[in-house]
Amino acid sequence: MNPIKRKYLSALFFTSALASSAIAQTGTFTSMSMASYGALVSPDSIVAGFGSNLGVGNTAGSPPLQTTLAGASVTITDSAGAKFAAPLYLVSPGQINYLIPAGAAIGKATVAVTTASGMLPGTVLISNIAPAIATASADGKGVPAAQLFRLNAAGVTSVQPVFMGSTGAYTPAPINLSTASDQVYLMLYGTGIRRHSLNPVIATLGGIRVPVTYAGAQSQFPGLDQVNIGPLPQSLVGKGAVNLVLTVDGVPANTVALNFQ
Amino acid sequence: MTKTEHIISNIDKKFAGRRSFLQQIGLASAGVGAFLATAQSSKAATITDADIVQFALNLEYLEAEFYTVARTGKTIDQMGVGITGSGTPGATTGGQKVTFIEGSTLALNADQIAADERAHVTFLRTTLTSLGITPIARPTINLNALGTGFESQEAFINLARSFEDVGVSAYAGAAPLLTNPTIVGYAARILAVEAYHAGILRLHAALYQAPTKPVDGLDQVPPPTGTKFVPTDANALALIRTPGQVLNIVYGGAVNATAGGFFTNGVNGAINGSTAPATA
Repeated sequence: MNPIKRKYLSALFFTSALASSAIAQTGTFTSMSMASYGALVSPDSIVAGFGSNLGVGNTAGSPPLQTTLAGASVTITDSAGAKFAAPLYLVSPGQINYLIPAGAAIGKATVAVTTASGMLPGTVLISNIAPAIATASADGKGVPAAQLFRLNAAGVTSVQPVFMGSTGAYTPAPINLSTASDQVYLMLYGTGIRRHSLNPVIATLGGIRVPVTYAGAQSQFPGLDQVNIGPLPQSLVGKGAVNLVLTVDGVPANTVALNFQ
Repeated sequence: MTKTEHIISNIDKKFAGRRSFLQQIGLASAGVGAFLATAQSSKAATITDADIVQFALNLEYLEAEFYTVARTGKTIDQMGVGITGSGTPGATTGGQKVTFIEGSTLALNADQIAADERAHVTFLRTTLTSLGITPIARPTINLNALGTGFESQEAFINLARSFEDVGVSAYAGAAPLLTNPTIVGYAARILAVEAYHAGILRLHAALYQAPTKPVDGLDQVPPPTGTKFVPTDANALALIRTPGQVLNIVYGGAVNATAGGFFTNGVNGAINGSTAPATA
């Protein structure tokens, strides 16, 4: 993998402890999708869990993920009663990012977080698919933490983010499709997508159906999924702000925003 | 014992005496079978179209309560649906609002199915009233009878699928017992809607990889647990269950019972006794 891309993707998940820890409730561990902050997650997806006194400082893991990080561990007991030690991406005082093991049964699971401070209980709803798109602001809203891949007529490629700005103020970067000979693809990242059926994954941009050329696991990071959309049609030129709606087996992901100049 | 049960009991006693007599004079068993058929017809003849509609109304109350609680956390009377009438009225307890991914086809369909089932309750009550018959009151309903159905989307699919498939088989099984063409027409149309519901839920079971549990030996569960998307017999006809077999399911598997499972105090109306479960 391109080192720049690896760093970019890593940043999506390892720094996201900056996301709101106000979700935490005293004495419980609240789990939700790492990308959309929706209540449902899926096996082999990345989850953000919120609590208090979970760790000291931010400690990030990297593949291969360990099941104990900074003295913390997360045990999942699935709806069938099977126990799993969850691989951990991040441990911070208010947040633990972890992976729902691929073998976890769907249904309501219990979660037990063990730290130096003791044990914190919680639950998590595991569904077969829970599509979620990562966003630049790491709150499931606004512009996606996506990249634009462009191939021009001369065979030259380029990759650039679709967002601009800085923390707390990300906005969609204008996407230029005016050169008709360019082939432009959108590369989205998220989680909870890979277990979809063989039915087509549906994507619309401003109500215009666009091709989905890939929707599945991103090979480098456990639980991370990638969706490639394109080539983006010329009919999007001049559309301005549009919503991207991704629907997987009838389940919509969080709606994200783009800007076509 | 109700009047109907008393009549049936007497028929069965007469039949038993007749059988002894036939056996004594050495007639072939085929003759006994023919008489059995007659006796069963007599048994069926004591059941009126109104009794069957009332029976169906019990099931519609249950379905409407299940979907309405699952989607809104409210019971149907809190949504303005009529629940008063003859028989023993009761409250609906248990269940809770299910956490769905809003906007999903499952959530949107659940909303529509909930509205359909509430409409069925209202329609059957109105139909009975138009026939000069007081509709049964909502009986006591315990939505927690199985201890599942509300804890996840998949648990919802499992229970909803059961209700719809049982509903289809109940209407299909009751159809030959109806005599009033108008009622037959209404029942056919409700059956069709229940079958639409069942098809939707069976497909979602497959898409969501939601395990499903057979309700009896007749049941054909959808993927991933089973293999058939559409449950049928060898002629691709809808499966059928008698009212007694339906009650066996909603009474939690109780045989020869008049209460249990979802209906803690039993259903209201003349058709209220369960039999052995249906088999393949």
